[in-house]
Formats: sequence, structure tokens, C-alpha cells
Amino acid sequence: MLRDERLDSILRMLNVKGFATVPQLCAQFGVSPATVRRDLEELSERRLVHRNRNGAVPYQEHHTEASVHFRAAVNAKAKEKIARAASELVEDGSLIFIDSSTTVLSMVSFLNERKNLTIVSNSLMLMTLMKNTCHRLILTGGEYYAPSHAFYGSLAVEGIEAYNFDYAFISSVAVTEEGWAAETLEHSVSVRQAAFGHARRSVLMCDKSKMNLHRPYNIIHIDSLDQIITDDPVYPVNTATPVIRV
Amino acid sequence: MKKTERFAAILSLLNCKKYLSVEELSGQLFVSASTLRRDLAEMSRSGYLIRTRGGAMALTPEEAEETVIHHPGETLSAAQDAIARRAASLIQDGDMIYLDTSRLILGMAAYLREKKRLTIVTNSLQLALTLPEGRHRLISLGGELAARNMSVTGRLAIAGAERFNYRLAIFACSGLSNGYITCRSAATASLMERVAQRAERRALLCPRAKAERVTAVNALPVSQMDVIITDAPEYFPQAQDRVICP
Repeated sequence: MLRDERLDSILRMLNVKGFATVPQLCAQFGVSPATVRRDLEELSERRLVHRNRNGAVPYQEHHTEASVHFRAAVNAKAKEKIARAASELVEDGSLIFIDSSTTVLSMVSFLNERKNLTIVSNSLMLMTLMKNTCHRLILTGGEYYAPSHAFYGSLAVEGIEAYNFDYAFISSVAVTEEGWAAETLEHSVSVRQAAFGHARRSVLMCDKSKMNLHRPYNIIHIDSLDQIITDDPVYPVNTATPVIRV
Repeated sequence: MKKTERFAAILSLLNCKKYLSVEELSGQLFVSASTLRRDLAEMSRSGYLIRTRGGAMALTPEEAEETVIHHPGETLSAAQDAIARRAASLIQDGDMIYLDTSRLILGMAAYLREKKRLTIVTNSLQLALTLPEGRHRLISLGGELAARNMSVTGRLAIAGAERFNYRLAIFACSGLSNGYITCRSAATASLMERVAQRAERRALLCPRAKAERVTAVNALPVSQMDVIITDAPEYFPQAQDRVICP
């Protein structure tokens, strides 16, 4: 197993079990304690785990954007349900924007059931996943940010502003109590804002783990959206925007 | 029939008839359509064929060479590697450079590890996947994705390319003809032209295999190149003072 795969697997294991000791990790992955300690060192430096005397616990996504592989494993089932509902909105032949979030990327397998789409995205992951489909793929361009496998910045925004989308499908890291779709990192905002601003229909896709979290950078208020899709049975509340609850 | 036998059978059938539908394959191999679809998906991911809506298409020899690109560890020949290494030596710390899409330039990426603070602009998405994270600033142009070699072209790419001033632009070619670097499409040629206009210094990497070939579109005149790194100097009779043989 490559080191990066092992790091992601450790994170996934911690997310499920909550806590793991160094001997447990050694047994699980068949590597030496020294190797595990080096892995935990790296994960700890990236602020992805807290190290205790004997093992580690996951560090819920604090000031960094966790690796896209790790994020994909989190709440995968909920994301899939949300993605399926979103895909049902897409008509053959339409022009859509797909962002780099793992929730929205889950739409890929369902989009293969559509014909003649033009898909614009800032996500390198999407390009890799869909490169052999028959849809037209357009990359926005921009500055590469490796943890998200995606591009950001002014070039990305300009790429988005060249189009008028039928739908923009976006997920945010959080939906705050006040009803703002919000992000951890500032650079994540402008691309999403631009896409919402250039779409006939703006769709926010957020699973329940994102509700009522506080994050510093606002993208848009949910009242300005056309559609929200979530698996949360209750939140968001008090909004005129239609909510599809899956 | 075991999976590996099926793969071999599919490839040899495609060798004779360049396109086969799932029905035809199913009839020939006495395997169910769903099994075949799984096989084709896997073979397509591994770069052995192109999956289409109802079946599969053989790769042309040229495409086979390019599609295999998605194995980043792919090694170059000794001659190509020498060209790649020599090309890297043209790059200085802190440079703003443009890198064209080619396997050879991907090979050069390994030698960028020792450089510091580069800003790299490229139309090659494969480069984003290959370059070690975080060391340099990577900016990808936007545009239509060509799945064959994971590159982008088109008006977004050209608009993006024009935003920068390059200290050095490194071009690849897929052929040479009558004093011109040739490439496969008009879109690629247009992009190369725009980049060349904005570059202080232009370098061409031309391994013998490309020097001996002619592809469809004339892109840039060889006379515009400031440096030509090649193992086939006899193809550049007018440019002997600018040719470097590694």
C-alpha cells in the first residue's frame, strides 16, 4: 500500500472507531511502530489527528481542508442520496457547473445516465473521473490546490464567468445557524460565488453533518438559492428556498 | 473464461475490427453484457481501449502512446530522459514558465524537485497530478478537456495564456515539417502561438521520434525557438547555433 493510501486509511479508521493505538495500527496495516509513528507525525502536522500518549484521535476538520479521499469516505451514503436527487434535476443537453466538493462529485455516476451534457468544473478529480464519458468537459483553469484536487483563484473565476449555467451544483463546508453557506478557507469562496451568480438555478447540496456549523467565510445566504438538497430532517429552517429532504 | 483471457480476446477482436459493440462482443465471447461492461470499464481505466456508448473502440498506435500517460511513473527512453534533464537546466529558481503538454515534459517534472519557487503555467492536467505537491505554484489554463492526454485547449485556454508573461516557454511537438513545429489540432496551434508571443525565451524539446514525423497542423516556425534540445540535430540545419544535443 502506498503511503498516501495508508494515511487516508488511517484517517478513515479513526473516523469510524474514534481512537486507535499504535499497536492496533501496526496490526491493521502490517507496518512497524516506527512507520506508524511517522504517519501519525505527518497527520498531526497536517492537523488531521490529535496524538495522545499511545495513539491518535481524528481532528474534525479545523483550519485545513482535509484530503479529498478522506472526505469522500465521510458520510458517503448520505452524499450519494443527495447526489442522486440532484442528478434528477439535470436534463439532457444542459450546461451545468459542478464544484470540487465530494458531495457534488458523487453525482458523477448518475450523470452518466444523461446525454450530451456540457459540464464545467474547477475540479481535477471530476476531469479524471469523467474523462472517458461522452459528455463535454470544460475546466475553469486556475491555481492548483492539491488537497482538494481542484483549481481556484481569479483565473478560475474568469473561467466560470464565461458561461451561463442551467444549474450550478455546489456544496459548502457548513450551513451556519444564521443560514449562510460558509467555508473554512477564503479561496474556496470566490469560485462558488461566481458559479451561483452565473446560474439560472443554484443548488446547494449539504448533508446533515454540515448544518449549524460555524465557519468564517460566507459564500451566499440560503434564501438566495433556488434549491437545497439535504438528508437533514429538520435543518435548515425558516427559509423560503425549497428544500428536498432525502 | 478467466478475466485475463477475456481481456486478451477483447483486444485481439478490436485489433481486427476497430469498433465493437457490447452485443457483438457478447456474441463472440459468450459472456454476459454486464460482465463485458465491467471489463470494458476496467480496460478503459487502464488505457487499453476507449469505451464508447455501446461498446469499445481500439486505440490507434498514436493514441496508445498518449493515453498510457495516466501512469505517472512511466519511464522515458535514455535519449528522452537526457533531453528532459537538459531542459530542466534551462529553468532558474523563481521563474515564471509555461510548460506544454507532452510525456517528455512530464518526465522533466521530476527534475523540478530541486528548483525553488517556480510559477508554472500549463495546459496539461497530467502535470498537476505528477508534480510534487506544494513545492511550486501550479496554474492550469482552462478550456475543453482532451481526454486522450488530459490537456485543455480552446478560447478559455487562450484567454488564460494571455494573462501571463513567461520568462521561458517550453514547447513539445508531435512533428516537424518544412521549418515548422507541427501539432495535431488547430486549437493546440493557436494556444502555442499565443504563449510564444508572451514568452521572453522559447525552448523546443524534440526527440528523434517526433522529428521524423509530420502531424496535421503547422504551429510555430522553428526559427522562433531560442533553444532546441534534440537528439536529432540533422533535422535543424538552419538552427545549428541554437541546437543543444544532450
